[in-house]
Amino acid sequence: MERDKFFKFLFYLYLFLSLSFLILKIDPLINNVRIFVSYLFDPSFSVGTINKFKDINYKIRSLLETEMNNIKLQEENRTLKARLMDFERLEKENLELKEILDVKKRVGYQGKFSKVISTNPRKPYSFIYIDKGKNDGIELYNPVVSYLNKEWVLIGRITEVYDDYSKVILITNSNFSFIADSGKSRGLLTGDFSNSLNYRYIDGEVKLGDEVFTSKASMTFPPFIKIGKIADVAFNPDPSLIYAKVSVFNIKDVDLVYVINFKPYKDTEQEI
Amino acid sequence: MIFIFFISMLFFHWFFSYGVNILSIGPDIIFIYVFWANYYFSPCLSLTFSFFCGIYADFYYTLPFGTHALAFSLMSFIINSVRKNIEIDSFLPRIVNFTISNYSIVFFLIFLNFIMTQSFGFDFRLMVQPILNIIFFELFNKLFLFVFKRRIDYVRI
Repeated sequence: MERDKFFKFLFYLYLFLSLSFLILKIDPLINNVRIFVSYLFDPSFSVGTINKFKDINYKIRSLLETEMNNIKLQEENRTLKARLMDFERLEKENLELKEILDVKKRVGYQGKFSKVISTNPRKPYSFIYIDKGKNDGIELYNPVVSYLNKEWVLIGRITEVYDDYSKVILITNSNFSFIADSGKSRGLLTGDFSNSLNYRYIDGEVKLGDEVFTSKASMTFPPFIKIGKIADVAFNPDPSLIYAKVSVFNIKDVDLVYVINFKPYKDTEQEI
Repeated sequence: MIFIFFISMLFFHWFFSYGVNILSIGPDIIFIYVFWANYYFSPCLSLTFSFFCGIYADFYYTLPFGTHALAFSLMSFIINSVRKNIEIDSFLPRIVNFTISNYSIVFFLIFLNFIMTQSFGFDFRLMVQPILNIIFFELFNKLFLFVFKRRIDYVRI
């Protein structure tokens, strides 16, 4: 009687375990065990099978070594990926510089490339500082241009020169004004600490979209350097009161500049 | 003793699964052992033996884990419930009994596998294998009766 009870208990226990295995679906875990065991024993019948038991130590060690090598390789892979990202950035930068160098050949002016090292955070369109100075051949009143949107545009001019750096007054500074030309007009550009200039005292016709260049009549800058485009025109019955807005560079895009080795005819004529 | 019996099963299963091959069919040593154990060992022992043989078979075969354990446990329970009324000492009843049990197990495994995986893994070799099993069962029966001579008198009912 006792045996019968125990037998039934055992039967229900094994039934429960078997059904649990089936319901829980632990096959992925079992597969791992199968793979591990088959890797250790390689259970294929052959004369040399018995000898394969000798290799168990070696196989366990090689399994662990493989795992360690795998961890090392993953680490190396991460490092290489990080370096690759850096290379991609450098490649992009290199391409940009190559493009600038190609374009430099078309500038027609001698000069020096320089990096912007500082801007005025409160008035970003007033001054910038560049990393070239007297020791690099930079001179006072040299025009400064930058390569933006695949063309050279006027940025400003050197206003103070130090041994290793220089200060550049931007054309958008309200204390700066100079003569400029559009296709059919000539006028005076003045800054207002934004990315647009006021085009005043216009002689001739202006219309939206006209490109504005440095003028032949200006002694401040060499002629035909692009400044910007007419973005707005304020008409007035009195022609002397017509003025336009010229959209120019965005200071955020100005990173690399080119200081043209150009000396104005008379330094002192343009007061800043 | 049962442990040695189990180890011998592992050995013969390993040996015959890869060594003996007729039409790429080998004898199902696990089933032969389970069937024999259920007639000649005490009920609790044979049930436990069947369950662990099932676990081993689940590790060995690719059916969902637990299928063989369930099948062998059920088979053990059924055999232990009816074995008082079945005689397997004579050749013919033994063969008939073994064949019916083997085919029942095969169909049960196919059915359970179909329920669990929705794949109908039928193979004609499964139909032929019980016939091969009979031959091997007879050989193992002789061997076991020789080894377990003393115990037979004790456990046989």
